[in-house]
Amino acid sequence: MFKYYFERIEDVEKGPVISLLIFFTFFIALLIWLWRMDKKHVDKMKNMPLDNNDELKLENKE
Amino acid sequence: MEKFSYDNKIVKYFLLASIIFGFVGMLVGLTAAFQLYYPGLNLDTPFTTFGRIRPLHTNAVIFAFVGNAMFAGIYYSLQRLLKARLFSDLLSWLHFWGWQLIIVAAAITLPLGITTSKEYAELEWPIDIAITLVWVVFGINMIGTILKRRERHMYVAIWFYIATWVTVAVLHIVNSMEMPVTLTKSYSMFAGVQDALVQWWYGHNAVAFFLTTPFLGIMYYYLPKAANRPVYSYKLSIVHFWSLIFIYIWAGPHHLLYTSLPNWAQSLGAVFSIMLIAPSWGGMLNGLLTLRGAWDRVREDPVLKFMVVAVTAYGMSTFEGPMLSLKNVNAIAHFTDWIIAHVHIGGLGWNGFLIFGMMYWLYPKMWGTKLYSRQLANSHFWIGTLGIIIYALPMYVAGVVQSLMWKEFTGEGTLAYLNFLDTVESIKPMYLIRGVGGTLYIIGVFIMAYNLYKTAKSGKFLANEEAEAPALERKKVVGPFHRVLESKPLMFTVLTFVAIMIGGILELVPTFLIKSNVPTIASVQPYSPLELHGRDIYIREGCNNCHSQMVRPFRSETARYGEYSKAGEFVYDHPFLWGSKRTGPDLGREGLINASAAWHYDHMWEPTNASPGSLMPRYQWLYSASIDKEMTAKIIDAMRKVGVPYEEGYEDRAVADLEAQAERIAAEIEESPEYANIDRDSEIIALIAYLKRLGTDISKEE
Ligand code: HEC
Repeated sequence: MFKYYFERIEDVEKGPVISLLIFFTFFIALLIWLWRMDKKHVDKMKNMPLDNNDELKLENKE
Repeated sequence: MEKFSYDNKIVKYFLLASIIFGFVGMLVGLTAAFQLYYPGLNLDTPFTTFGRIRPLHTNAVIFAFVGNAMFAGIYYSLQRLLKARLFSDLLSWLHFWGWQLIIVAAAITLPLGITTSKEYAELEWPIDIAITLVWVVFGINMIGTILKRRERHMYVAIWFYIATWVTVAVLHIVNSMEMPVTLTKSYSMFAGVQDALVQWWYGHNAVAFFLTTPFLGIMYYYLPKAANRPVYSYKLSIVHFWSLIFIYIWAGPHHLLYTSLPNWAQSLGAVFSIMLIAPSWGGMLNGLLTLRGAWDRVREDPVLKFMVVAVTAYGMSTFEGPMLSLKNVNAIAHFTDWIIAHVHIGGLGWNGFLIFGMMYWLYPKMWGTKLYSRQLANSHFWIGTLGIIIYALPMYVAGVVQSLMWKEFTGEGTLAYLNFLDTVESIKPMYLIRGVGGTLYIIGVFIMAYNLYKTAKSGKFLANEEAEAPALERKKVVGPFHRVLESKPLMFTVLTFVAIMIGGILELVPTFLIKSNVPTIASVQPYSPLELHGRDIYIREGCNNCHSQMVRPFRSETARYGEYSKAGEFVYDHPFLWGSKRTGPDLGREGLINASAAWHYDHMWEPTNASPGSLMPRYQWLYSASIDKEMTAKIIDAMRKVGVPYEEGYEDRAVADLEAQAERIAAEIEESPEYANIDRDSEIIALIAYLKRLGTDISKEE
């Protein structure tokens, strides 16, 4: 069966290392993007849950 | 401006279902808890014994209580964040009724003993298929809503919802790969070590992607809503999201430390688990810091109170989890009640309290009124908090005390508590106290249900909430990558899928394909037909909820149970039955420790005869029920299909072999004068055959 072709893969430990590298690269790229992110955009995204002017204007506080 | 309306009715129904099933699930849990103190509480019927109702409890609270609340939370916030009604009312209701039907099916089948035995995936294959279908309906409804949105960018909560959907789909499908025997019985495609790895990859990530990510999304929506201020850091939420889903998927093997799992996989699980602290705490801090400068409001507002405790509990359990993945901590905590405490901090604290906070916020909103009584909500808060503490503390104590007793040696080098039951005796009072904690928690839920009912009574339900928003223009988003990504839901979904698949594939595939990971042991042979029947009974009765079958390589365990378990011993175990909790002793080498059929025959009838003070249930119904010999051939056939090497045509001879073995065992029991005329076909004989076989193969080696 097909699975026997894979039986000779050695150093399975390399898999996680590769994945860690992928993650690390992605993570660094993410940080760079974030660093360059437009402040106005961030503010807009942040306030998204709050600016629902179409919602009921009822207080749920006593 | 386009006019449309938000669907509140579906949210209301999911909330109701969550409360009702939450009650039931928690009451079942309470019953199971008290059964560990008063075994007689199961009323001696099969349907209510511990091994069957413990899975009922876990499934009910996870999939019915938390699941329904999660769908309510998602459907309410999704519509508002996207400024669109749910994609299709029909799909919404298919989703709702489909899910409730699955829950009812679970509530019927689990007490009947129809189970796969795999934790949190106990439901049998037809229900697994139904879950898949309903999940697809949910996915279409959600993605469809996203596609017809009137808001270009997707708020962070929605990424968490997408990740939830994608990952749960993958986990469920892979872990449910099973070979049907009948409509109510199947065998896992995977065996032994592989099955264990798949199961805990699933189990761990079910916690991650069913109990965590959707609720982080819910936190990111409802916490700012309730506090009326934006989330502390949006950038942190992005980092938090991607690191969390990337890392979580790897951590599953921390459930299998010191087992027969290959070492590289164990280390992998431990390392990634430690790394998980960072994104988890990033999320917790982001939640708590959202409230900076608003702490005076927290003191006033029950919604915020619940949420603060929820997020704090999240922080605690996500710190504790990685600590439990350290091998030396795990060596103490694993198989004990410590783990029970850990999951209840997460379940009662994080999920429960976040759900309660969300409900207290949603009811007044959707019924256009004020909360009926803030005082009652505050009482609920305090009773609930007390309940969590009184639940968790005794379980921590029980876990540590029992574990240390298991490991204690006398000066002469023998086990100090050779009788396992002594270690159980010492923690029994703790079981009683945690039952009190659980009771308090349920009383709290009851108070909430009343309060919400009164709230709804005092208002008028708004089934369709009018709204308007400008249509989304078709324009290309340019700019930094993540900004583009926030406007491209499908690409986002694909990327999430890739992130979780990298972990899944690199972790699972090698154990499947590389032979050296599971060294073969020549003397390990497939089970005999009678033993297979016995194994099915073991699974049906849920013995694995109290007994492990995994002797870890510690001196304290080899002294108690014998040679530690090897990966090669489990190659014919479809499914694996290593267990996760030792309420009773490990049975991995039971065939060597205790080979007396008569002893088992006596013990299973009335455990306190052989072991005074035992809290194991009696299994007297096994003595009158007969095994179904019509099934034998089908079982052999299904086992062969999943890879167990029974020779062609063996099914024709299987029943003869079975009867011969039953005869030997019955005759052995009849050697002791108390017993005569034992029914050769009774289920107990098959179960004893299995118990006598457990762990013996390895000693047949020359
Ligand atoms: C509520 C938890 C619980 C469940 C469920 C349970 N057991 Fe037990 N079991 C115990 C405890 C506690 C002991 C130790 C005291 C004793 O010997 O009864 C024990 C002991 C045993 C022993 C004796 C082990 C030894 O060598 O000392 C066997 C065999 C056993 N159980 C088999 C089973 C089987 C088979 C099932 C399912 C049909 C089962 N148990 C279900 C708790 C449980």
